[in-house]
Amino acid sequence: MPTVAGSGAAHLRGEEALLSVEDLVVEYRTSAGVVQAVSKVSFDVLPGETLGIVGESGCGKSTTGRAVLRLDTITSGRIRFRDRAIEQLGDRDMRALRREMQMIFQDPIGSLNPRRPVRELVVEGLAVAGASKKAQEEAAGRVLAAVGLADERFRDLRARRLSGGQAQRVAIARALAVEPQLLICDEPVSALDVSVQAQILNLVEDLKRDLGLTVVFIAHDLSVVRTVSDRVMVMYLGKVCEYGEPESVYAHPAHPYTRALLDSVPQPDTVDGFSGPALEGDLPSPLSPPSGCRFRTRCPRADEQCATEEPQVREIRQGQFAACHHPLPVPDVPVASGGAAVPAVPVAAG
Amino acid sequence: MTEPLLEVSHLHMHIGTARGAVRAVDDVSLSIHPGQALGVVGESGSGKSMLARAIMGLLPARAARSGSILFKGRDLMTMPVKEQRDLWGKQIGMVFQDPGRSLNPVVRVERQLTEGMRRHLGISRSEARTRAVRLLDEVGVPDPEKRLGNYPHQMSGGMRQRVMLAIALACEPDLLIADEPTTALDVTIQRQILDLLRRVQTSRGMAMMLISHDLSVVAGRTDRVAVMYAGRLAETGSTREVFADPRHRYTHALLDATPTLTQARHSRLRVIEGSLPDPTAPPKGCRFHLRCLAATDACAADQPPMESVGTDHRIACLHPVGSTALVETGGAHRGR
Repeated sequence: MPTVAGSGAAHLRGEEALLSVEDLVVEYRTSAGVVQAVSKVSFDVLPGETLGIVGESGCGKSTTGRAVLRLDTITSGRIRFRDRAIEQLGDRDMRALRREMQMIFQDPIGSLNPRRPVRELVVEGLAVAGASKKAQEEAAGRVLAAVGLADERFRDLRARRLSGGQAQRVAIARALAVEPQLLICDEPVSALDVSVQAQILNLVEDLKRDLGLTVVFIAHDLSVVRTVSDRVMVMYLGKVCEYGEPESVYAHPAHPYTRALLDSVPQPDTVDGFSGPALEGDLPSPLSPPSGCRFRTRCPRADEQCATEEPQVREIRQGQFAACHHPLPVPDVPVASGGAAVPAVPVAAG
Repeated sequence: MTEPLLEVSHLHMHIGTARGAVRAVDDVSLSIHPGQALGVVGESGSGKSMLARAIMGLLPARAARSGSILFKGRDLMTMPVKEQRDLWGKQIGMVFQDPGRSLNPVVRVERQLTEGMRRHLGISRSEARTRAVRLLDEVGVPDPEKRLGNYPHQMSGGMRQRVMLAIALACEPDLLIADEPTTALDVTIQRQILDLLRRVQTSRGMAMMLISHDLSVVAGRTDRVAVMYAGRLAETGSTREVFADPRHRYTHALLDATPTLTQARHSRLRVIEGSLPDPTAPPKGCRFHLRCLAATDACAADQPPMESVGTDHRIACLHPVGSTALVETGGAHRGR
């Protein structure tokens, strides 16, 4: 059993996880000082599961995803993928391991070389690994079909001629070509229009099911995260606030920040467009985060304890965890999982 | 019924490009009454921002306008530039998406905020300063006296957008045009700014045109809404009615494709197949017909006219969604 340490790891599920992150710290050096973009974050992802990571800018969600692939330098902490300790791997082993862990990014057009044809772009990973021309061609056909670009005309298109949605499909195809086990999606639909966003979300869902992928899905949009996730993790200023099944977390958030986030999503069906009160204030500077709980400067429930003592991640009810000294009341029985439509946002009191 | 404050009739704006003319705004007519908030929504390429630019006269290179834009009964398109200058910033205020780029980075907040007041209202520097403090307070900038001495980069995105709004409000305009004012902001800050916009708009009795790609953003904060697709108006009506009972196939499909906070885990979203038409060569007939599940041959022949489907509810669709639409689609998009 993992021990509770740092910001808490009570929500870790242990050995069967495909990816397990413990006490991850990532720091950036800036001219104004050191920023801890990710501060003792722990989570794990079981095989075949989708973990959604949600939060506002500066919460460390993207940095967390990048650290797993070692695209950013890990300051401290442990990242285990299958039986490999990622923080200890040499560059060469890491390069080999990245074939099993692929990432797609927010800006699909910017992440593809604009001058190369699609058929080459999608098998770049295989070419680097030394696959034969024939194997590359076969793989290109296979992955392009998988992402709905089977039409021959796409093969010779250059990336700059693709629409945003098509480019994101190509980026996904390219990730799939090396047959990864883990796919990290960093804001994959936030640059896309709603009508195209739905196509890409459905595609990710289909691929996950058909290929048995494990997914880390990073996004700022709470509605998007809910539809794809088996577990959600809410982050604020480099810390984990809340973790659990989406049905439980969205229906009865225990952390005041989760509640505030949900209440800030514009709703088309309420009188003033929102289901609860607004959160006051601005994000504190990440250079000098507040002592104790980092959310306390904006939290309606904060008291002295929050300023002096950092809350640890703890189980609030079965399957739902929050790092908060004064969590919101939640019913004892968790909301049934599996996704029956539940009243996710009850009208908040005052 | 009062006279409309702003009345746009048969507005066209075409932009010349190497591949031909882009029909950015194509025969759009709409109006805003005094004190009323109109939401303009659409995806990228819908022409919503170009509509705003056409109204404001901020034309892209090689753009040509036709039609009429009446503000208080006078046509902005034929008004002499000198008179227009008296209008902009005074009777019509503007707020844009990126407050970082609309503010001058090397000029302190005080000057940016008082410049317009001193020019348009002819007031003294000290009076302008007093007003500036009051304005910053009204838009929720803490410690306004101190903020006047700040440069934009010393403030967060949310604070900068508040300052932008204060500048837009400085000369007490009758109309505020806000183009994607919260798109660059985080959700909790977006919430603050949207609340602020609505509060200021109603307390001042000012008219507002709120432009957004996000339908939910305009939902709770506008009285009427106009939905655009590929340069054309698809649907207009009271905001409540359009969201509760969308009649145009595009509006309906767009609401259906939007995930909600109550979306069941791994549920399939309804998609709109295909992508936006090429703006230089849009399809004949209804611009949406190639992506529309209800399209028939008639849809490909002629552009459907705007027709009334209720009091103050009009659509350009030959096959409107029936009133049983909620049952038909499971009503998932209203998120209840």
